[in-house]
Amino acid sequence: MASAEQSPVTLQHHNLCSRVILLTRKIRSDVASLLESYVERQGLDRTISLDLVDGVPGAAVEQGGELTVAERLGANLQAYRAFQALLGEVLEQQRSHLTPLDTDFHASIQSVLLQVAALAYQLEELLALLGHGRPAWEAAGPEDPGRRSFFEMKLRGLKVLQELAHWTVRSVRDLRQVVKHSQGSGTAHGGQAQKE
Amino acid sequence: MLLLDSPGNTECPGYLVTSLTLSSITLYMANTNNTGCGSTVLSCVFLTGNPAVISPQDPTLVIGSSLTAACSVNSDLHLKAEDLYWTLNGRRLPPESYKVLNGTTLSVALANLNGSRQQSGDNLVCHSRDGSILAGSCLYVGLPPEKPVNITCWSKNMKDLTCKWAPGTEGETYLHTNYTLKYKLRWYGRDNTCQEYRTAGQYSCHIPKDLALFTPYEIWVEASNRLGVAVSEVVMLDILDVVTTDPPADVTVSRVGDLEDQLSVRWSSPPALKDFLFQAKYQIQYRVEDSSEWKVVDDVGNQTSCRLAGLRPGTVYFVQVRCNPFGIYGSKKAGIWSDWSNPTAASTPRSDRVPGVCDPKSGEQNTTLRRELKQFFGWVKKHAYGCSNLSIKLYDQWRVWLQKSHKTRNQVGKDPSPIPYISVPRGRWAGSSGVRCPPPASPRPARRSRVSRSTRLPPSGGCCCSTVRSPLPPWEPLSMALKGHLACCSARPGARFHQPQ
Repeated sequence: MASAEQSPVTLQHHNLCSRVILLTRKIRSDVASLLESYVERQGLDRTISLDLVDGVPGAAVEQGGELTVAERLGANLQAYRAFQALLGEVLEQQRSHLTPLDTDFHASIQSVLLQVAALAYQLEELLALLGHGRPAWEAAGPEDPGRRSFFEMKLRGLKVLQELAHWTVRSVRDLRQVVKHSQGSGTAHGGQAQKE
Repeated sequence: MLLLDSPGNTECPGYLVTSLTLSSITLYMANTNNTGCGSTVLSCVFLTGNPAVISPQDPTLVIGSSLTAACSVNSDLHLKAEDLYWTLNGRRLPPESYKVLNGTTLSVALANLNGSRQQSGDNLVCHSRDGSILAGSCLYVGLPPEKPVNITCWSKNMKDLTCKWAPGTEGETYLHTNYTLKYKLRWYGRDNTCQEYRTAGQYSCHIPKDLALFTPYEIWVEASNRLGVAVSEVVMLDILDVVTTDPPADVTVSRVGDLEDQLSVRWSSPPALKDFLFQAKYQIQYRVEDSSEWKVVDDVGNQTSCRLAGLRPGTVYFVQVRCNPFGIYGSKKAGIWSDWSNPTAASTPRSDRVPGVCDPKSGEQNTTLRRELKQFFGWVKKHAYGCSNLSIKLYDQWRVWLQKSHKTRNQVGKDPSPIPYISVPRGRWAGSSGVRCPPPASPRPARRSRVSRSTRLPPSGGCCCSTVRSPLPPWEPLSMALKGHLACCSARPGARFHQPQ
């Protein structure tokens, strides 16, 4: 009954949210498998302490209750843009230094990388549909990987995958909030100023 | 004197510095076999932002060598050397191997190192007492490459060249080893490097174009890893001598009329070589559906059809054909066999007799055989004038005649018309199924029957390849008897049960 009252824009927004959630779940599943093969190939333990590794966006939400829809989606978008760059770095390090012969493994990283790029694109679309501007790419680029030791590269790759896995969990939760919010407000627009 | 080492160091081959980071400058010595080098660590570490630094960082070592590594903690952390411990690939190393070098530096001695457990290097990690990672270093332990051996090359239709090789007698180096295939025209060419690797297996490379004919190439492979370089012997070859081709196209397998133990195989010669002067020879292999064992017929010669004989009735056979183009532009080399064609399947017609419960009693069988032999020799007397005309063709004709006489008489349970031709690519097949009991009484000679066109042998260029098989088909006793008779009549001693070519 509620869906009968939805405007075409709301419906479009709902559909796009569903697609984003679907893709996020797929990434989560793929990253879980990739993590398994990653720790095996690097000779690492999944419980290894990664406190030393910085520069990877963490999924922990400090002010979850106070974020607007735009802030929520913007944070997701920025995170996946960062992961796009970080996964590219990880892939290059594996190809060039750590596992140069393991082309299947490289292909599995590449696959996740492509999905993350697609997810970032879909989040941009969602922001635009909701009437929010697309946040600019953050200027801070990746560090020069040539400065890192091989062991640091391994740890960094593990941290990237672990945090990506955490982000996919957070994103599904965030997107559900966005859907709920838009249904509650009855329109896809106007979420920018509203607090949840 | 300070000596900054590099992979090119020849004084101490096991003495390598693979990185020089902003956080430390390290000079170290790792003992390798029989080099006379010590195993002392000389570290000159300038800590910056990292909590600790391991030296050497990411070293490469020969299997069996020893290593002493040092972990220097940033003094700002207020950690003592005694607070640290080491792990290798996640396993804690025994404290007996540690040595406190100064208040903030702990070393560990590793002896007789094994090859690296993973391609990405073994993880040597320095931890604080609570288990946190302070620093890590990847160890690459392996062997220098060996000379690649057994270089073999082939050219598909003279358009390209693919070579493969073996990595050496020992094989495993535990280190990422790069292989580079190089080639040049023998007398006046310059070195070229192959670009497309792993096209025909792990150790292979493909040169897709720009190859010259009638001039030999020199081909060799260079292997290199972190511990050295090895170059293979040079192989010399002319493209014309290593030509192979595509598998024969259009392979069809069909029944030979109602003959229960034969199938006819036909194929086309490789079209890619039609403009070249060459000869071709072919091989056929076939197997029954429920077996993985192929039987090879290697006396097919240069014909493009062949009749397989001695097959089991009512059985599905998979057939493949391959081609060897040789003598291209007069080349004296043997040529290289193509891949086998995709399997083509067909079934032989079912026998009128089903072995087992439906078989007549053994006494009846003997009687039947005797009667059939009598019929056959009577028929031969009537239709063949002397042994010189006796051939498998005649025998086939007689069998068709006999089968037709059975069918005429036994109308019960008669099959629809036999499938004249079956050809199903890629292992699929079509055919009838089900069994039928033979008639209760032995066959009686009927009037002379005409031989259908489909049972005739190929007009020319065919061959008939008889094979040993088991269990015996219904006609086997008669075939064996006939074989003996043919052997007596044959002009060639030891002649096989073959269609004359």
